[in-house]
Amino acid sequence: MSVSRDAGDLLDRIAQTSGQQRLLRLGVLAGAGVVLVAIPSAGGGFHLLLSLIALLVALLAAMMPESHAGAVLLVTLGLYWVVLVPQHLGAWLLVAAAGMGLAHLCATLASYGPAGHHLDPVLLRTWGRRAWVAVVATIAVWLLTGLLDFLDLPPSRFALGAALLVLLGWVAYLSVRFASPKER
Amino acid sequence: MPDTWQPSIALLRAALASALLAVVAVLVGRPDLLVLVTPLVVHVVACVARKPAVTPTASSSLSLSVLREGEGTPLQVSLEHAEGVEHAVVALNTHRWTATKPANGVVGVTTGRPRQRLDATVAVTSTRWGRRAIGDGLVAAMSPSAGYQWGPGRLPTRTITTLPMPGSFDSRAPAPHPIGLVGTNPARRPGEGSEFSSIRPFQPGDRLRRIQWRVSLRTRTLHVTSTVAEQDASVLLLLDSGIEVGTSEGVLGSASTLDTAVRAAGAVAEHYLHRGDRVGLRVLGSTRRNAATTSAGRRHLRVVLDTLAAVVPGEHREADPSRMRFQVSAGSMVIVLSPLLCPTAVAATTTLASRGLDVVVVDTLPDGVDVGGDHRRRLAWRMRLLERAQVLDKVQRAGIPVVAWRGPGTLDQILVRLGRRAAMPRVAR
Repeated sequence: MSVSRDAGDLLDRIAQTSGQQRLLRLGVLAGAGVVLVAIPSAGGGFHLLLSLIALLVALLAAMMPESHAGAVLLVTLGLYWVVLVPQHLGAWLLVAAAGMGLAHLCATLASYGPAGHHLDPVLLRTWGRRAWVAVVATIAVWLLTGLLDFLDLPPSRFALGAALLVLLGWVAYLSVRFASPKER
Repeated sequence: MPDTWQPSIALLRAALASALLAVVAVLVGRPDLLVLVTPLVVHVVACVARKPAVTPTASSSLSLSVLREGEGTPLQVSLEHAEGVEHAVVALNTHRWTATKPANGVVGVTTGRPRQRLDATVAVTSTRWGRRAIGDGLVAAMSPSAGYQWGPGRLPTRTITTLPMPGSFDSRAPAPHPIGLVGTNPARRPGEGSEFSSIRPFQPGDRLRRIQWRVSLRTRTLHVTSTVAEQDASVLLLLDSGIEVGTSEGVLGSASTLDTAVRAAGAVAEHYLHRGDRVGLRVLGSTRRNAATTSAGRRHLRVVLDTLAAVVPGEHREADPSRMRFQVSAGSMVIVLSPLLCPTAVAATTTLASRGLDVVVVDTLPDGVDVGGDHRRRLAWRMRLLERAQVLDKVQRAGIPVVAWRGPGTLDQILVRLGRRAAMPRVAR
């Protein structure tokens, strides 16, 4: 009874979405599609079952951008890349990163308000600027990894340990920031 | 209202996915995965760097609490301490007989720079008379980069009073029994007024400017033009709210019998009060506030319209028409607005007519009432209409005129006939 009511509510919400929200939900699907196209193009081969699962998760994320389906989608796409693609630092990596960013950005904008909410141009322009910053940062990291790959440095336990420490520190910092009741 | 900012779904998604994939990248030695999660990391950094420090508070207010049907008023939702807010969303619940602009009641406001106060305005229109709750809904806010979310919190409900639409009613016929002191209705007794009565011989006390010189010269005795006095009339509106038939679609759609009755009562009251007459109102039904005493003036019009706005459909089961006190003075004109489907209204009408008052029934039942496609309901409605025809016949045989409401001029012929009847000699009972 509750499941059918929830499904009914979901369908009602989807029916009430504005044209802009439908476009943004399509953007989530398009972002996932870009990553799925980039994986075989980067030499990863095509896996029908995994691709179908990823598309199903993408569909869920597009229908419910305010849910955690989007997080599952991003992790799924990242793991597919790791599993299917051998190490690749070519242009298709940038395309896949753009796809990930597009899916996340569209899910974020689609979850800004209830069904029927229309985002104003001021907010969209602001997000356009933010997207450009992310693109520039991604290209910078891509160039840096390309440089490190070109230098062909030997594997080092210290480097791995340092990277893990940096990551753990970052995760700990995020956890503290999320939990801290700073607001008055 | 929510009291803290919470990490948004977007921030949690970006943080979880970027942290997990970055750990995998380091563990399996895949720098390309780091490139893949860079947009997510950038978003997380942007969100965390601009975590809001102050919690906003929301309030709402209506510019006007009393409207006419079809009129709108802005509902303003204000967020105080909105320094950490980049985008706020207001979503009002939609109700019957209210309309919002935009139609779904969802409005978003974006601020480019930190502000102490952020306002979102939604235009709200009431499309039917009555008292109803309005302005309930949700309000939420997002911090810059959609990192943190405040709300959604509930907005308080506001009560709005919608007065009946300014009616289109006009009557050139005078009231049949003007009984007041000063007014615009020609009375039956001679006096100071503007309506011609007769030319009669001069009497001490007559004004010189009333001398009719032509007749005086012809007859060789002074004659004057006499006029009839002008008095105000007393009108009692009897509104039957016992049964509501038809579908009410607001000011722009189809009207139910109660819609027609309330709007007609408002229009008639407005017309007579603007003319300087006295108007009273009595509601026959379950409405709690069911009477407005007979009085005059523009302020009294507001009292009448307020009483009309409080009308609710429903029959008063314990009402006994023969024992009802209408507090109506002799000479008053009673206008009954009813579809004549409720026995209480019929009994009250005949009771008032038997007291010698001038009673007019305004039939508020529309011509074609849609009762649905079920043949049993159609049959039942036909039977009900046959019963009603009998009631109408009984009322008309009691000397009570019945007229259908059609706006301006509805009462003209009836009032002229009642005026003539009032001037005729009566047989004492």
